[in-house]
Amino acid sequence: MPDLILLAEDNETDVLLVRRSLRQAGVAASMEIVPDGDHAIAYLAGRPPYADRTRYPLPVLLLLDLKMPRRSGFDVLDWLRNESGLRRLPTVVFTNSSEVSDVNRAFDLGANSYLVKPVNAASLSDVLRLVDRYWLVTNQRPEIAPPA
Amino acid sequence: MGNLDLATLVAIIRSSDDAIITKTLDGIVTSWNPAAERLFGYPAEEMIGRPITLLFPADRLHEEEDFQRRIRAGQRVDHFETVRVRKDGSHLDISVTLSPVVDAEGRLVGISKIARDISEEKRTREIARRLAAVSEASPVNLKLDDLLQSLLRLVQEFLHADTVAFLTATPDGSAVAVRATIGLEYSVANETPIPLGVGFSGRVAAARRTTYLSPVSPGDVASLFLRDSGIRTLLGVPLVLEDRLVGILNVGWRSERPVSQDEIDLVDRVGSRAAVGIDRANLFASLERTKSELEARVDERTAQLREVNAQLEAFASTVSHDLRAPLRGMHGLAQALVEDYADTLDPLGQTYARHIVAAAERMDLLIQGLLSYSRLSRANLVLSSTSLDAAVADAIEQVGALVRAREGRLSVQQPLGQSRAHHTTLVQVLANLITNAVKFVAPGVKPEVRIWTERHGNRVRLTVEDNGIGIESHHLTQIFKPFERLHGEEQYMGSGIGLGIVAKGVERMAGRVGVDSTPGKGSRFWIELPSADA
Repeated sequence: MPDLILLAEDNETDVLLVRRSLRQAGVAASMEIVPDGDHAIAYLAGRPPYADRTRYPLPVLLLLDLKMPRRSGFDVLDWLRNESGLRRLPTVVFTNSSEVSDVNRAFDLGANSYLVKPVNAASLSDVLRLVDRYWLVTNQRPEIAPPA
Repeated sequence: MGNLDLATLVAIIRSSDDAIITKTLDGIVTSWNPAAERLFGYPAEEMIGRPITLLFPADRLHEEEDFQRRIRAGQRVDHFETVRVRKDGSHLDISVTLSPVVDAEGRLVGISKIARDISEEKRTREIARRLAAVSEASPVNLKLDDLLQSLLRLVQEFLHADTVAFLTATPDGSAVAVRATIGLEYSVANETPIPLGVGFSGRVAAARRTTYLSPVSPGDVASLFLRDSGIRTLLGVPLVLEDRLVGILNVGWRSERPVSQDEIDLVDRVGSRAAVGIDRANLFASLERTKSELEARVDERTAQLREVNAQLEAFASTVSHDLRAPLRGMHGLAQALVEDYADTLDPLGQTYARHIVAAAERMDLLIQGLLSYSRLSRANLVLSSTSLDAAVADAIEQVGALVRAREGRLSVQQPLGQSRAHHTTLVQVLANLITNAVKFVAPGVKPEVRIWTERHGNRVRLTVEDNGIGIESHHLTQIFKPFERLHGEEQYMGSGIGLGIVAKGVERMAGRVGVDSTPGKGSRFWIELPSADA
């Protein structure tokens, strides 16, 4: 079973572009998409509709948009920080905002990396290739476990 | 002397206000005029034949020996100030003048002495000194209450008064209220203001006239404290400054007594001093009130500005987040069309797609410029000694791709030195200047850019010179404003905000910016920053 990247992203166009860029970048991992913070937390906690761990296995990386309907990316980070089994899950914030206050807050809440989505499609492939090579290939993976 | 007969001389001596005494060289009194009798209290018959030292206080006996020695040596003693004792034992301040008395043959036979009572003069001098001391001490380091207390003590002491009180006018000028007293068992807080025209104080205040009252009957005074204090004589002086009644000064005695013009003069002088002090204190109090009102308003405005600032920050964040997301969709998908569907799109379709991509790129530049500008305006920049060489090197690295694409040549005259700046902001400013220098050249011209610094007093001027198209002089004032564009998009692409960022960044680093330009030849953009040692 290939590694899984969980992408929390509400913008369907962005989802299309990320899919295309991952393909262009030759990323081997597969991707699951959740449309907001509530669904991201439900997926990670293994709650319906994601209760089936075989169908929805834990990811090795969370790509997290910040501004999403219902619970935001910050809310997801805050939730993760308090989950003893999941707090080590490598989390890369992937957002439009380059505001320093957002960057600082994300790191304060335990994000492992903060990337601004490039406008240019070629740059998007470059960034996702880097994420794959660093976090999925180079990085030593921590142990993570679903909440009891 | 030949013209005056003896009788005339005697008459002059007898009618003199000054004591005129003669004595032997050994200090035995030989004559004693009526003024001497009045001054020292001894009749002539009690003093003639007796030593003058009878008048001397014990600690001044040595003065007589000294006088005799000087007279024998042919000298005079002029206006020597000293103290003598009257017959009743009281002390008297006098000024004495001693001269030798010689007989017809010119032999020294005695000493003449003229003594003048200077106690009044000494008192006047002492009052002046005390008033001056009070004046020097105020108003900065002397509180009004301290000033009034020292003035009260001065009046009490010199006029032997039993009570002295300052009353100040209420702000609306309709009454006077006790501000400071001496000699009264008195609680200032318990006394209600006395309306103008009521009681002794009210009448002094209303008439603005110095008023003397003796004997005082209980119906004459409004103040209960004063009524119970057994005061029999009152002197009230209005304190007036530039036609405004500031307050009054009341002096009271438990005995019935006359008041001399000298005493009124003293109270007047103290009163004018107090009037100035009270007036200043009132002014200071109203300044303090205005100041605290202003501070409250500044606080309020600051809170409003902070709120606006927070809203702006939220707005900038929204712009960065929300505007760029759809833009990325347009750009990315149009690019996907160009790249993935080259086979199925005809050339016109591909041109359309490429134009969508270019438009989206320009819009992204504009949004980024806006964000940089707003961030630069809001950022809290800490200035420190910064290497201009390092900043220029970083800026060149940032815009390296553009310079290479335009085949530009940059030459930097090192070392550029140091200035007080904020490194990141300075790099941003320089990157914009270099970008402009490389970008705005005539078609076919390879950009040549020179960078150097000069010291201008306590400032460092960094110049970026180009061989570009230059700027018409009537455009020079508008180019540093954000969103001003001088060129059509087709010719020179840019957000129009680059020089706005330069101007804002330099302004935030306490510097200046300027440009000299010759259309067709090139421009020299310069920034001036405080030198690192300034």
